[in-house]
Amino acid sequence: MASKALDIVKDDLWKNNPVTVQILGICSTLAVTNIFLNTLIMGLGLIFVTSFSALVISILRNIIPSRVRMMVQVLVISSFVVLVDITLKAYVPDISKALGPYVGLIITNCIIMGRMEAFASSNKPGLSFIDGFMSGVGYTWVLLVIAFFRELLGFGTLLGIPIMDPVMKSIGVTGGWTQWAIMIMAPGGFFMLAVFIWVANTIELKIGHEKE
Amino acid sequence: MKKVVFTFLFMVIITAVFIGALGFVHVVSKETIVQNQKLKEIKSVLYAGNFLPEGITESQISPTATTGDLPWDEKRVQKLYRSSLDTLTLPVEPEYQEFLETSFLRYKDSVDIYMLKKKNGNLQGYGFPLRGKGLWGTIAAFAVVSPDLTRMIGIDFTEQSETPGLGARITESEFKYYFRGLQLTGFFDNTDLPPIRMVYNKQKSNREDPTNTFQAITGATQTCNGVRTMLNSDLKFYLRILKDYLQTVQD
Amino acid sequence: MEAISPWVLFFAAIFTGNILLTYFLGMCSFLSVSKQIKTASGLGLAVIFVLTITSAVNHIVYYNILQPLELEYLRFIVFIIVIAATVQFLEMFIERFSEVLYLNLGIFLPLITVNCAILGVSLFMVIRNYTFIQSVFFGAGSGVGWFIAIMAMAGIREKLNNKRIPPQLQGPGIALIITGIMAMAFVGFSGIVQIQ
Repeated sequence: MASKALDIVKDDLWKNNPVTVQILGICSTLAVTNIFLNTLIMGLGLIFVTSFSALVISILRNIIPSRVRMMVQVLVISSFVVLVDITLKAYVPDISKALGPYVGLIITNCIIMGRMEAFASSNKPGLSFIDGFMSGVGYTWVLLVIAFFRELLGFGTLLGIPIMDPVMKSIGVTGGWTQWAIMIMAPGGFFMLAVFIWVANTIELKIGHEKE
Repeated sequence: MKKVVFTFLFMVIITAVFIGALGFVHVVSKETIVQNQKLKEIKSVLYAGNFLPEGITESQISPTATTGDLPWDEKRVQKLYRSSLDTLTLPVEPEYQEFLETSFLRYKDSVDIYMLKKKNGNLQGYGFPLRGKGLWGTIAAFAVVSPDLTRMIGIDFTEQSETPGLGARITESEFKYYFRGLQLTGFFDNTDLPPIRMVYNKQKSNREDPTNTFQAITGATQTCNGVRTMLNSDLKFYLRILKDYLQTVQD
Repeated sequence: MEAISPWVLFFAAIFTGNILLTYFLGMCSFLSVSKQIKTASGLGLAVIFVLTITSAVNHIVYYNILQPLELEYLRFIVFIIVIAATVQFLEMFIERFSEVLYLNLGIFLPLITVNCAILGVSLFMVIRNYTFIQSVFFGAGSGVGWFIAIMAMAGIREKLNNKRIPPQLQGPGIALIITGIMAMAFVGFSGIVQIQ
């Protein structure tokens, strides 16, 4: 059981990463990564929903009639998302402000549905929870890297703190930092993700060569 | 047949369980959410009327701060709101219906206008809600104009679903600052020029150099167009109706 | 609410407000299924079908059931269940009539359910207050727009000479860059027609 769990962890984080390898969860990757804080909150939300949805679906997997399996999966997923949204709105409205526009994007995040179909509906609850959790982490860390660059180059800040401007001024550039607007808009997301995949594949190839 | 019945029952039961759980959470938190919303609206009205939190001046506000980020004292805010607001209900004459063809005020036969008063009882300005369409959804705002209707005191955006980092920046103070002192004389002259315009390279704020322009946000053209359209249409109506009212009061 | 002609909405949804290239919804399957024109067209047609049906049904459900009962906060869940049911029917249909397409689409057939474009169209329809006819035309138009976008991408990728692309960028990498360029091109269309 432990070795299987470890395999899942390694898989979801790198080898079978939901974003860079399975190419899932792209819509939200593009939408949310222009601001680092929003990415972090989105990632945490996704980890929560994926793990608990996987748990519930796995527990129910033997009694869900096959003809309604998709409807049950989306029911469970969207219920958890709306639950998170209502709870945040009521008790931490500032964080809910960052997650609000993305509620629809979490419900339709292909990663969650993908893991339900591919794993949770045919595996034990314990492993399913881990798979759900680690898929979320695999998604989150890739997005955080992309968001790091997009916010830095697009706004010149990180977590809202101006960084590029002071750095530019300290090395003598009098105008400070000019924002790269393309990084804030969607095409910036496409290009950053492409670069990430490029780098990831290059590393994969290198590891492959070293093994030989 | 048995399978179909089981499938149907299963769906009904599981749907009932999850929706029941959600309904429960919704009911439990409804009151809190409504209160949060009310407080947010009060802050917007005060901000638009240029009532900033105690001890804070405009220059101290970070360009990216939204109204909610400012250090409001919640109790003081409630008190201030209650003491500085009065409502004025004005009837909508039939001749104004043409302005309201595409507005959310269509079919109304009277509108409520808020009178914001300073501490000494003098009028700070007239405030009212506006609604327009952005890129992703509705944009709702609250605007306050000067008692002589020549310039805007301020605006705040109470509802928007625009792209975070782009269109959503209309809620940041840098954008909203352009509306302080914005000239409204264009609504009263008889030319066909748009009363409020959008520019791309504004050098000075409207406090320093009063004009009828505001600066657009890079990458958020559609959202800014929506704001401009909203102002040029709904404001026209409110200003006309207020002008008529002020004239009757003078007589 | 507005008296915008349904046909204007239909064409605007294809060009000036293309659900994929302007609003960036429906990306996952777009990137993965656009390698072959045959599979892409199968998925595209499926999306048109699902979008038209769900726009119609969700409109009826929202304005006749959710609104009168003040249950608007459940719209996310109700909409997506309607979408899931429609996709389930579609899956049964495709499995029976075209084994090849069924196998080629693989997991992306059930993933139509969570295609953000489909939920997005239903949510837009509500926010923009479209009438029933407007919603159906908007849904169908959005589907056609998505179809054209994925066909364009499949056409480009089939013609792409893979020998000139570094191996690390082949596949999803280059698809993302192409999409980025297509997206930048479509920014030029934005705002031409008022559809709300």
